[in-house]
Amino acid sequence: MNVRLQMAMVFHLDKCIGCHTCSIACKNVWTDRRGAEYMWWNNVETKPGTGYPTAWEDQDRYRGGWVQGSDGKLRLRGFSKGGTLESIFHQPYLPTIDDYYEPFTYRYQDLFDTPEGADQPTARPVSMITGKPIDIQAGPNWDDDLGGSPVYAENDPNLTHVSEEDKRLLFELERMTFFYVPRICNHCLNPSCVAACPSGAIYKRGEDGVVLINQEACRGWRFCVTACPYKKSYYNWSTGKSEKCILCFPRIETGQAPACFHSCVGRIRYFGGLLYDADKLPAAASVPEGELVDAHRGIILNPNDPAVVAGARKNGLGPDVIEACRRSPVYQYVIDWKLALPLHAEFRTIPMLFYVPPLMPVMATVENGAYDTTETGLFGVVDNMRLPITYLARLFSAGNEGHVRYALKKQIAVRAHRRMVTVGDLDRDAVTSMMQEVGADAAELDAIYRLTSLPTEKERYVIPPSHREEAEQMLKTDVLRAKGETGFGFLERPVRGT
Amino acid sequence: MVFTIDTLLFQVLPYVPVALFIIEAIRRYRQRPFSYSSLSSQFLEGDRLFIGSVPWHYGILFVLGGHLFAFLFPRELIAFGSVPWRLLILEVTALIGGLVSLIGLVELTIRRLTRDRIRAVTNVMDLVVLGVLLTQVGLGVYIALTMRWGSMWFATIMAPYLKSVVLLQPNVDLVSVLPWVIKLHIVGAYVFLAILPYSRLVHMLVWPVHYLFRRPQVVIWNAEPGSLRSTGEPERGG
Amino acid sequence: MTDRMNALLRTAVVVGSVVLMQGTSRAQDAADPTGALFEKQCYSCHNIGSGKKKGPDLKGILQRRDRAWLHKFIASPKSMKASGDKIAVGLFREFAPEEMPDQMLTPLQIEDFLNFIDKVTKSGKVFVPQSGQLSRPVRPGDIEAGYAYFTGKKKLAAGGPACISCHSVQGVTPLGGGTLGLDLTQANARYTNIELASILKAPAFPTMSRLFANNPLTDEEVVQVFAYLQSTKTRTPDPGRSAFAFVLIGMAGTVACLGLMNFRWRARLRTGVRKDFVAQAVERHRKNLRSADHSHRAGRDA
Repeated sequence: MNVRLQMAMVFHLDKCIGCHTCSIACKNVWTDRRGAEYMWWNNVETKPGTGYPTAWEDQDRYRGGWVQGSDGKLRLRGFSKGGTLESIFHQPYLPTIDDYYEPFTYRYQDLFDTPEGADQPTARPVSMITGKPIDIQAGPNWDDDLGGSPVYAENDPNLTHVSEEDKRLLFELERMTFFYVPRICNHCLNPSCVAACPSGAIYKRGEDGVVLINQEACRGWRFCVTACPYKKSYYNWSTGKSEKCILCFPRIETGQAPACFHSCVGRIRYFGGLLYDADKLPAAASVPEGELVDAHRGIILNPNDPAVVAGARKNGLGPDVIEACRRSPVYQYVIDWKLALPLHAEFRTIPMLFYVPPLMPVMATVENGAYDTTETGLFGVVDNMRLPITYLARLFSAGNEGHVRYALKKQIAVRAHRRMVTVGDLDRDAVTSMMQEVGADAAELDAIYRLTSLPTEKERYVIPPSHREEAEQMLKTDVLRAKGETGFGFLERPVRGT
Repeated sequence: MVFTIDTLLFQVLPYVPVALFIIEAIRRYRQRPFSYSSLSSQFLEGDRLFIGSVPWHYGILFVLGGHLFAFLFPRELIAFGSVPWRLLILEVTALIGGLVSLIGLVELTIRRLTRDRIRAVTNVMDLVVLGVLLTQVGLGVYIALTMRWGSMWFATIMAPYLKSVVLLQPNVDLVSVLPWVIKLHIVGAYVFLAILPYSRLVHMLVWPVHYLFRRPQVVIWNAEPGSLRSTGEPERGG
Repeated sequence: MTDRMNALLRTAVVVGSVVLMQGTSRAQDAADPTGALFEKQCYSCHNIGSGKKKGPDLKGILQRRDRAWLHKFIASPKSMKASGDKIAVGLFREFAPEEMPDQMLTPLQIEDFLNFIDKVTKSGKVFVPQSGQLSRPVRPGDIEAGYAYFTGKKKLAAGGPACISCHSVQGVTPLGGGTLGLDLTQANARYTNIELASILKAPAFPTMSRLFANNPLTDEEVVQVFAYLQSTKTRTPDPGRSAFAFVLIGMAGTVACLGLMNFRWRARLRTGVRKDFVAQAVERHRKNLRSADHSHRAGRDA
């Protein structure tokens, strides 16, 4: 057993209101720079929709992630090592900026400088690349709230497994529904961007599992952009380097939640440590698609298990770190309650960002033109949701409908249980049978209710101490020199080379 | 010894770019590692880049490889070209390499000058690089077409000259009698070498061949695993 | 093909024999020590009885010019020209841009040269340099051997480069030979047989003299390459055609290469995913409009 610590995340989609505050927080802190204007390390997408960049989930086009060969071994979907060097002069599956959007601003000054005339002055949109006027074709959330559905929502790659009849119903005006999926880098355990980087510039930090791109080693070959199935590695067209979410490591090293977590108004985000067994990689990603979620969970270790604790201590994880992992909300959602599921486990990167599938927006059915939210059928609604279960299973459990159904039923059970407790209008036997079906007792449902609805900030973000003071001491370089350099930012300005 | 323009160009000049190249490339790699990048513009424009970049790179790699081979193994090359049909294959493939790279380069130049987005990421040095490369490849193709058979006389004239340069005993006599077009091509090669460390061309020095030999995953520890966080006491409360 | 070869072979044998006969009859000219010195010092620019080269033919020079004037001129042509001597100035003008360099010769040596020229003139023969003589008559089979040396199929014994590197001969290969140097198809029309043999033995051209300085052709090789060049005398050089074929094949190959690259990466993303979607949606919309329009009309007609 090789116990390592991974900073992991849970996004509770039932609580997300799609306000994009997280995106803006991230943008303001990290990507408000030339060449990075188009990047949204954190973005929020409407589902069904094609997302950002357009149709990023369609790996037939973009060739991201891993596939399992006939010999059972994993290989990158995009390129073999030789194929990487062969395709290095023009990368065939690289999305271009038009698949994201051309960043733009407006000539606001024109509003002031325009001489008096018959017409109102206008602020023309200009490209932030060329500085010339453009017709805006797209934006980072162009298909928000199903905008432009004939172009975007209907092309959602997850709809390929949905029957024609369901698709027709889905886009019927009265039944139309959507939910939001905020996305950041998943800081995967089996990252394909790392494996695809020809320069070896991308690495996973041993201490907390944050995946980073060494800007001084990156040569702009762009294979990480293609290899990341989530398209969360971005090419900075100005500096000629790729960049990605850094999980605000300067913040988490000092015990603060990343900016997007910190700013989330819906409080949908949970952040905590997970212990995992590095020896089980990449075997955990080399199982049939339907078993991926189970294999995924199987790699995560129980921080209360004495053997795990001993392994963790052996690998230098301090008691305070292990203690933090025991209180990790992520462990509760993913392992204890099995509510949170990985996004697109079939990409086989073992993402460390988990989603609680949304219940609320998809639950209500339309009966005679009126919304029916009575839950009289109790679990019956799960299979009559406005969004087909096949669709959610495509997103969150690699097509295994059982996992999604379980997570939804458990959420309904929580509601039924709480309604019984607080309102008392539900039949106790019916609720008990629901609880038995999802295998949860009242205490567990109460705990879910509490962490979902009433968590404090300290319960949502349990950040194991980084012990930077020790890390600094252990660095093989001169500590005093490190001290002298810290806080001075880049020693070389991050500008485009010639 | 009479000091002529040839002496300057082919005896003294070669050592300036070589020295510049070695010193500056290393200095830049050590002091400004951030500036080493392919500076790819595919992200801003992909379709036209394919038409230009792929032929250009494959063509020029083939042609440069041919020059290198002829320099390192002139005898073997002459032996191979001694049968007419083999000589023709050699020359025709070399010409194809040259034409393919020239077409790619012309396409890349047009793209760079006409596309607004690409112009936004073009600096003066990029234009210098394009100018030098266009001159070099254009001259090369012209020489291949009109001064045949390049593979043979390269092996008999240029290979000994380059060898003499490498051995620090430059023999100008060999090249001084060549037509000025060929001389210009040689001088162009030295200019190319001289601007290489100052331009985006440095990306060819960091061509990631080591990728073939590394393990897929990279994990970096700030300190030795196991030596860290052994002292922290459990935090209580919270 | 073989008939033609045989015909050429016969021609060459005859021509070669003639040269050889001439050579043997005059071998004593060059064997003379002054003759050898003449070959080394003067022959690159002057003939005796075979016409102008870079300088005038020296046959009968003593009959044309004053012996004292000749002494003065040969010792330092440049100072003669500078002194404004009419004959000297005229000669320099006639043979410009060639300029006869000042000779480091003693008056005794000049006298020897003048006597040697006079001797050759009076014998009524022409001067044939040692290097202009073939070591043996041309034999059948020499043409093929010469062809092998020309193309490099057979290596020159001393390691010199093959002729084809820089020179072409009509029909030497389907695409001709090298073009850095002259087309040698009718080399014999440009040079006399003697000169050609001399060039083969010790080329006086700057490039060739450097390339062959340390690795000259052997006597046997000279004969065989000579035989091959003689055999091509009757052909008409047509370098344009072979060059055209070369370019054409090169271009065809280039197109093939570009096609191959396009095929290899045919799955590449092209216009962009989003643009595709937009275009498709627009197309669908247009189709709907058309069919709606159509049914509308159909309804009206009914």
